[in-house]
Amino acid sequence: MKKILNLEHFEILEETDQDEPGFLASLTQGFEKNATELLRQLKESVHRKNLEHYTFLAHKLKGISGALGASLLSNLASEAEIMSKSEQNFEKLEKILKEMDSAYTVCLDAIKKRQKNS
Amino acid sequence: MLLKKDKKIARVKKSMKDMILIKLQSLLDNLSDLRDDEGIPMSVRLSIVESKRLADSIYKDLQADLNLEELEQQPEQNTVTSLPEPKTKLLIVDDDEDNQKMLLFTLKKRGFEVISELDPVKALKKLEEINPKILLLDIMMPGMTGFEFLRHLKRHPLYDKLKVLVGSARNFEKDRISVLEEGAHGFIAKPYNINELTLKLKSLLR
Repeated sequence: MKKILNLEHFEILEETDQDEPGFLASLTQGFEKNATELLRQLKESVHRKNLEHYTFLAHKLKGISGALGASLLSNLASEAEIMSKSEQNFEKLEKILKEMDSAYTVCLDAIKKRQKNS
Repeated sequence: MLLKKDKKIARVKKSMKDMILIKLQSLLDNLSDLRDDEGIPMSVRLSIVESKRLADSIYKDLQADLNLEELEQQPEQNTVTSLPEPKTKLLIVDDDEDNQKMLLFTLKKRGFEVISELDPVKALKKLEEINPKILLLDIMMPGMTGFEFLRHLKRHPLYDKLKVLVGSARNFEKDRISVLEEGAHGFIAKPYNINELTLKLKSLLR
């Protein structure tokens, strides 16, 4: 089973949040806003068949999801980045994009659930 | 009461483990001059995962020899938990705002004075004013890549006094070697493992 969150990393963020209240909420807000926008732009780049932009956006998505410990999304974005560099198969890129879309929802739910329970 | 005692013992154990990891990292760093049969520096070959595995096995041996109850009874200021944490000025150059925010607070909690800059060109201009001891640099940035930044940095008067750790999601052997060749002192893969990052930053300062 694939890991949704990198718990070791997320616990560090939770620990930091105890000293800096609002830190985790602000990080989650940023993730929500930026990941949504990146996923939207990724769809656009597939539609326009802009491979270079797709690689750049997947790289960005990998970074922002990794910063919050959203490993399910980060790992998929990494796969998408590599795939976009190695082959020009937009069908595959679109398929993995759908997976990233679902992974984003799953990760965000898991993050919010953890915050609610803490 | 029991909880407080348990927490104290856990803190002592953690500090011991951290110290061992720092020492191992330092040993690994000293291997940088050695290369394997493919010409790859040993410090690149030996990953932090391997060093952690080593640290764990050494820690288990140590645990058997040390009586943690005795350590727990010593006054707080004499225990290993009270090792001074120097405030080191760290400059982060990364165009990813979320990543910066995450690093700003997590590294501040680990004893660093953190200053961050999203724009590499501005960071280079402000370097003298900031005067950091250590720099955490991203590679893929708009306007100037980490490689270009390093090339400029090598001509900067502060370069000799500065330690540079390059962090990137481009975790390919070629990139890891290139950043070292361009004058960086270390490489760490993104997404960051905060414990590994802290150890690497601290080991560069010795």
